[in-house]
Amino acid sequence: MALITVLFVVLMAIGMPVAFATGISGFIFFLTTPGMPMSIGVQKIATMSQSFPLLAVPFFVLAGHLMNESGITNRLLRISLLAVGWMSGGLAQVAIVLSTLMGGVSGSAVADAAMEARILGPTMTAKGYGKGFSAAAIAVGSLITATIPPSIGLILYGYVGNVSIGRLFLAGVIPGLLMMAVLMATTYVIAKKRKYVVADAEKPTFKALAIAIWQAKWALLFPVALVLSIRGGVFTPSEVGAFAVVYALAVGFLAHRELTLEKVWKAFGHAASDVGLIMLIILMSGMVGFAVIYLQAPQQLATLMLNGITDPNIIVLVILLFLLVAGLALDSTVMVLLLTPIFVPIITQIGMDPVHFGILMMSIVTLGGMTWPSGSAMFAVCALMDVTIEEYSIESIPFIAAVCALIAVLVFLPQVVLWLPNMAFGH
Amino acid sequence: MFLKRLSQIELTICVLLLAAITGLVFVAAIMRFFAHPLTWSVDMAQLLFIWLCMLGACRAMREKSHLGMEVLVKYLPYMPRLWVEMFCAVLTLGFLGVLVVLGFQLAWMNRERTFGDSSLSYAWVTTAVPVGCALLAISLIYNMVKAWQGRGRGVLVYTRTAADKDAPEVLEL
Repeated sequence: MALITVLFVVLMAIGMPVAFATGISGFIFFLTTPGMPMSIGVQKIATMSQSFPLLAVPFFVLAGHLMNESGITNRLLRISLLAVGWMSGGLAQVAIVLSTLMGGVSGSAVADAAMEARILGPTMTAKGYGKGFSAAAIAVGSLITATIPPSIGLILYGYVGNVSIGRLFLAGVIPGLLMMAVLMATTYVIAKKRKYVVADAEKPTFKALAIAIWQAKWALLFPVALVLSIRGGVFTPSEVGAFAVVYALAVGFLAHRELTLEKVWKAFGHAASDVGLIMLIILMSGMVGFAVIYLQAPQQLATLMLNGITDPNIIVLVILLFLLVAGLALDSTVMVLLLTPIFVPIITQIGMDPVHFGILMMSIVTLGGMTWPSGSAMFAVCALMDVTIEEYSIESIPFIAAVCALIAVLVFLPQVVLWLPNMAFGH
Repeated sequence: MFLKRLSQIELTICVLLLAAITGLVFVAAIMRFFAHPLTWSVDMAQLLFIWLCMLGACRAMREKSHLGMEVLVKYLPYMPRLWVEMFCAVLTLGFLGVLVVLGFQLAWMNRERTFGDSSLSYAWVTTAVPVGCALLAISLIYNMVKAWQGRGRGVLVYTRTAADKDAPEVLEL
């Protein structure tokens, strides 16, 4: 295990693409273990793909791309502007609400952050908002996307950790909304102090807001329908994913009439690359996953990390702290794939609900994408808005602190996370 | 141009695979709802899925979307960085080569084993690994050649730089 870990760290450090760094270090196990046929390694790559729950990944990626091509973003932006544009720090509030609404359509935080940096970023700087502040509100705000269903990260967690994806989806709703509230409050305080202008001084009329919501009804209905159909237990998340694609096509062609065959082709092409990129990491992690189980790494790491700690709360905090630090360097997909099989047995053993842990873990590993030194959402937003990493980092501190505080509170309040899934599925 | 035509064919296959998988699962879900389950439909979707993953990964390689950790290497000047990427690429090529050989051997061994409830050979699944790895290797070699030719403009092997203007958005989870 030491050899695998060292090799993985070295390969990652010299910038090897994650999929190959994972693959090569996993393959080393088969090379160095006597009596272990190397062909099993190839077998593991192939078997990784033969799982029905994993089919949800291409479906939700494709549905997200199709929704984007069918004019949903503009409709959701209009709602956000009307609903919170008048508040202190209006445009930043809009960015945060838009992330929440987009979270119900797409499952990717970085895609959301990049989109907002492009459509809201220039307006924010033009209206005198600090560049670093705007970038921070957009980037950290996109974290909400990771917990609101459908979340691709939660699908992966559920698949690797053998946890119900339906439960995870429902459990993400309340933490996602709380995150929105916390980030909006942070924005409010900062904007008030710096006297940032509002986007639209007049409070919206109820009628205008109702019209905007009505125009976006198909997009807003999507996460609700999604959760309801999984909750009914009639369909599995993967089947619902296939419905989501058909739904997105129907909305784009019939309801919004903005989808063309050319756009559909484009969406399919983007989705194919995205699926390849995510899935290659997953396939390649099959070998490491096998090695981890074979070498009993979870047990070893558990004894090493938790030596002498008996209080379950402390154990959870230590694990979450570890994730927070590891998240600074590692990509969230890799963390979910490699660390879920290690930590889920530990936390189940001390009596924590893996659904509760999944939401906390997902929030923390995704937060790594918003921080120095390797956050991909940070890079995307800073590059698009022409902000330096230093300025961004300073401005993002209050937002990140607010999110961390919320996560810490959620550790001790499992009922907040588990209330919805328990109500829907029973205990 | 020949290469461009090849990439269009690849894209068409990807789109068809994605559409077929969606259709198969969609129809299977509907049929199951009406108490006429089609088991082969989901089996078929799983089989096509690994091919989609491999071909998609290949496209992502040429788009330089396979991300690595840039925290340390980004401080390197351009030429040393290109050499580091070349080194990683050669290492990856070796790895992919081994997978191609082992994969074909395994597929040969798997040819008797059937897949799911169908009468299809499991080798259809296993073959996707060596074929996909071979295509990935070709894409990687293509990137290496392009990077070497474009070294005056700051092109890298698998990391997108300012020189790759019209490359698509990065996606992450």
